Amino acid sequence: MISGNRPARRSILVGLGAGLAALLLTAAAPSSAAETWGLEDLFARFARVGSSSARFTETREVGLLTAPLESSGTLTYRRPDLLEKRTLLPEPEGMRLEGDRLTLTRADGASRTLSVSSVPEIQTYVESIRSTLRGDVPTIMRFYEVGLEGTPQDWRMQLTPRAEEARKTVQRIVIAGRDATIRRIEILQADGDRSVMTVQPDPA
Amino acid sequence: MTAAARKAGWGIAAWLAGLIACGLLVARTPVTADLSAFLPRSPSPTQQLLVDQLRDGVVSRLILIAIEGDTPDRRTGLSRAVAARLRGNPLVAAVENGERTGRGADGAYLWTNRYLLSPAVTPDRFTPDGLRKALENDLRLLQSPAGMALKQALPADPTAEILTLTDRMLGDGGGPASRDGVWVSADGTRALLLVQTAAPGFDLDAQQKTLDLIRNAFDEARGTDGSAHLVMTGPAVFSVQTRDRIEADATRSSIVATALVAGVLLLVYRSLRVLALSLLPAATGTLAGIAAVGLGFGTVHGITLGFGVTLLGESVDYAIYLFTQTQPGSPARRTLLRIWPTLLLGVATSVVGFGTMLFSSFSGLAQLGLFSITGLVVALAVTRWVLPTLLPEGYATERPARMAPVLTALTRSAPRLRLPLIAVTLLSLAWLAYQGPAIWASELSSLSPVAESDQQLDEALRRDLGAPDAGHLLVTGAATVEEALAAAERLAVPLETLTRDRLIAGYDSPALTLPSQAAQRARQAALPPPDQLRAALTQALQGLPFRPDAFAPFLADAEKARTMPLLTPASLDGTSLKLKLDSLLVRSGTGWTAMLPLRGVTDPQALAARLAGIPAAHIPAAQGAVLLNLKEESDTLYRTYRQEALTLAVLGAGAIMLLLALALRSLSSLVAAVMPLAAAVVVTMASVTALGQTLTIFHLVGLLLVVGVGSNYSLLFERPEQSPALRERTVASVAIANLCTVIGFGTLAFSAIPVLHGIGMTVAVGAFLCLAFAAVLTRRQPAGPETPTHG
Repeated sequence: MISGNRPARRSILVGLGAGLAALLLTAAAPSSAAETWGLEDLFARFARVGSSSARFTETREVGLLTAPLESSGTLTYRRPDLLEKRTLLPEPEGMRLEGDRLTLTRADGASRTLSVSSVPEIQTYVESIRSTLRGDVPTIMRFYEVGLEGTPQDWRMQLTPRAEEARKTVQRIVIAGRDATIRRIEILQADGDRSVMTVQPDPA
Repeated sequence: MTAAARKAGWGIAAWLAGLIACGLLVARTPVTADLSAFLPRSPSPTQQLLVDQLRDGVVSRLILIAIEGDTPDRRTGLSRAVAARLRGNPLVAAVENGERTGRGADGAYLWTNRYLLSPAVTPDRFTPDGLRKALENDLRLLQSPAGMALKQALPADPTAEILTLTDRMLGDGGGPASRDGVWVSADGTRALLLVQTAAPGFDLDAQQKTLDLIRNAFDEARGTDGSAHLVMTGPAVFSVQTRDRIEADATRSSIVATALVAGVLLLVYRSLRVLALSLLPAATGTLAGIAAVGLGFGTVHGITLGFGVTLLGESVDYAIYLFTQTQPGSPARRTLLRIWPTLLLGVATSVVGFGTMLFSSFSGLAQLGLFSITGLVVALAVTRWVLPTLLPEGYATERPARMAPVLTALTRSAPRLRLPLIAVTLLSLAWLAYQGPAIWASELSSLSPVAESDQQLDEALRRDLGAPDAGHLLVTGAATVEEALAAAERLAVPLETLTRDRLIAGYDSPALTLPSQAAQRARQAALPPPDQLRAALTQALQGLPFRPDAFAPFLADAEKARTMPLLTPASLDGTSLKLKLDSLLVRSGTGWTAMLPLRGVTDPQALAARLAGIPAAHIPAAQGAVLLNLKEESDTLYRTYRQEALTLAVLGAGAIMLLLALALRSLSSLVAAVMPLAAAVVVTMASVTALGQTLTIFHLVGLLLVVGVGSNYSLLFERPEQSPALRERTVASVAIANLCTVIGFGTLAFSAIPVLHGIGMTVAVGAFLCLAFAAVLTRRQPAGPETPTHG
């Protein structure tokens, strides 16, 4: 489940405090520049964004197939917990995550609703994007071991699922971005399949 | 003298022998608490289904568990630990908490047998065209977010039969919410588990053991430092709880009532020996009553027991009449001879009243009837033949005579209240007439001894878990298992149509778990032989980006399915699906009945109309299938029994009137005896309903008891006495007896179990009113006006 806004905000405040302290420390020890900037700072920026939308193109390499699968569409996020991925090409298809409910809609209109928390494989995937957009540090820390590198202008966050169940499918997720926008999501699956999504933010 | 002593000796000997025999019988009689003991003995086939469902159905075996308190992570950890401890225990048929491991055996059954189980397996599906369509679907699936989770199954299952099967099992909701793979409530504050017991719901001892097992597993898992706690609901929990509670309440009520009654008697008689003696008839009667019910029914229901213990209130009266009316210088035996006709008539009226209940097909009522009759007759017999022998030589009561004048004064002024009484009675009648049938509870659940807060908790957990509750069933029968399954399969088409038209959200069927042999054979025949299937697949793969060898597992599995032995009920051994099949496919008489639970019925009437094929648009009448609305059916059942009980009560009242008429041989005496009773019953009914209760069968029983007790009062009031002193003693004895009755049932009114509370209130109020009204309406002046009021 996703924790409420309040604890998240509080820990962000704590994080901000820690960041400030780190900043003060930087002045004394410029050598540790990389440590002055952390997940809390990044997520605090995301937390200030109320909603966002973007276009994506996705390439999936699947072991079963001789050629990669290409698709493209739009991504929408609205605070606090709505994430929608609409695939337009090659065929219209929808994925809407709101709270715990995940609705998958196919081109022919057939839809399937499920509790996302009951399917860890899917949850591992969608929660990586949603909790980043929410700026929800506790949630992302609960699901993944997080490694963040780079600068606020060019960061790379490596997520390794904590749950054994989820690790059987998703080995690693790498999200890269610039400031409070996501630019690229790469998913490495346990069976060697891989998908790369390139994200182009709509001008706000 | 010697002859009398020998006679008395025989009396005592018979009594002791009876006590021992009853004690032995009672020790061997199990106490039940399930509601179904109060269900019909010889119901119609649909009612039998209902009763079976309540006693033994899958719903009756569910225990809903919530873990509350502590931190979310601790809760999910506890959920896993408790589930792990419970799995594999022979008392537990299945534990589910959202973890995948719990579905291991079930999942394996579905996966291994998917080609025999899936209704989507048709010859068309395995032609080049059919496979092509399936593969194109797979490609889309791989592209979708769900593809990541589902693609592992694709190489062996390109036609996605497993999805067809699991979709059906899951229904719409997609199951409860989870946290770290463990079920939690929608608000996340509870971890949830679902346990299906191996024992049927009515086997309370086994259910009790299962509940203890769960509690121990939880305590072990939590250790000593956790602050989490365990909450359980479900029919089994309720039944066990109710049994415990009824036992506790009956014990508490009888202790409190005994103590209070003993206090009153001690105050009046100032003798421990006399106190013990006055409780003797009541205690013997209760024991004999339980023994008689055990003998006649095999078990005694907790409610019968709880109700019966308060019979103490009436049977203690006999001893009170005897002792209080024994004057100094006159042996108790003579008193007995004097009041015997009145006592006998009083008991006879009660016996006649309760006797009608023996004919009830509602076995709980018959139990109560038998219990009351036996108890009262035995109590009277003990008063008549045992008590006088045990009384101290030359016993007489002094003290009651001292309070008698006060009572006499009260009684003398009572008739002044005639007009107000008539007004109140008329007002009550008007109120009852105005309320009409609304004063009667019309739902079977009104008999449920489960407290409302527990019912609410149960509903909350059920909602979170999406657990089935008793709703609508489509029922069809046949002579054999195979035919019943085939009949269930024929319902699939109409039910799919109903689902599409949104009259139902979905359905379950035993044929989904175990298809008929015919259907399985047809599905095997739909699978082409290996070469043909390989050729079709190769053709279907043309131009698609799949690797050519990607579907080798599919070819192997399809061939295995084509030649495997057909599934039988034994194939389900070791899965929780077995239990499900057993609950949906049941033996009934000589044949078999298949039950198809319907989910999300929004408009039962439209559904019934469609199933009956009335607007017959494109749905064929579901031949031989009966739509069963469990709630409605059980309420109808209850209303039938209430009607029957009402009829019996009216007949009982009639019989009492007849008896009184025969005994009193005077119309005016009859009217005088009956008037107070009728007025008391009317006013009691009005005040109980005005307080917001609806009347159940048990209130009816309570009213019968009021008539039984009250008739004694009227008869004693109406009886001519030889002297004013005797008259005073009579009045005193009636007052003390009434006080004891009110105390006995008054304590029951404090019971947390609605039924016991209702009866307690009714009888306590009713009995008091009977006495008061008898005093008000009496034609006889309690004592001559010349008698000094202060002695």
